Amino acid sequence: MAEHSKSSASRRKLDLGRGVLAMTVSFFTWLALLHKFDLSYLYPFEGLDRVLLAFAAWLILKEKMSRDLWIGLILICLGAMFVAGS
Amino acid sequence: MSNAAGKQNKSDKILTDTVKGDQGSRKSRFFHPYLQLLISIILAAASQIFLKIGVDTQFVSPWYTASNFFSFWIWSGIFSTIGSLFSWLYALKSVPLIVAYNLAAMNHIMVALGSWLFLGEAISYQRWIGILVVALGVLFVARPAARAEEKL
Repeated sequence: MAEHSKSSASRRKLDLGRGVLAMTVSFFTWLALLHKFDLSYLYPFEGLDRVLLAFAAWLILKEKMSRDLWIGLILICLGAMFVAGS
Repeated sequence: MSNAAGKQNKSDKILTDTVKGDQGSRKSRFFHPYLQLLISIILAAASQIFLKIGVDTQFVSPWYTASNFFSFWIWSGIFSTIGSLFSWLYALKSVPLIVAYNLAAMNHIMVALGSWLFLGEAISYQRWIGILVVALGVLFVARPAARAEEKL
């Protein structure tokens, strides 16, 4: 990999840049969604970020899923389904 | 209780050290970690409401229209988010993670209440139930997340 040769400081800067870029994209996407939907309809879906994060940690970082985590994720999905149907 | 009081004393000591005496007692009340946590949660909810108002009243259709970048409400939303992040990070210095994360679940309820009160959105029973279930789920996720981060 090309990134192997880079120093860790520049790697960190690159990661930070990617993070800022991702946040900017998510901010503008959020504004576009707010333009179309009610806030009370849209905001519960923000809870889904935890679901994505937990699954990413589970699959990519091989972290363990605890029982509480599973219950929480299922509840968030269930709640989002309720809101989606309203 | 005594544990929380001890932590509070510790944070007060850190504060008076950093403020160095001048108006220390007046400032330390505002910088009480739990007050900062409350401010952080209110600002986070307010920022969403500001953004919604901005998008509804000041947004012009192609997103790159120049006036969109000078929208008062959108900037209010952005600065509220930044403010809430700072008071959140400040509060985390002394509030136990599990308490802070549980209060973060309040965000969902605060935003729902705010959009009902200030934006006049009609929230059906089904939507309230959904919002409460999501908040409960966030509460459950908070526990393993707090445990994971306390290890760091």
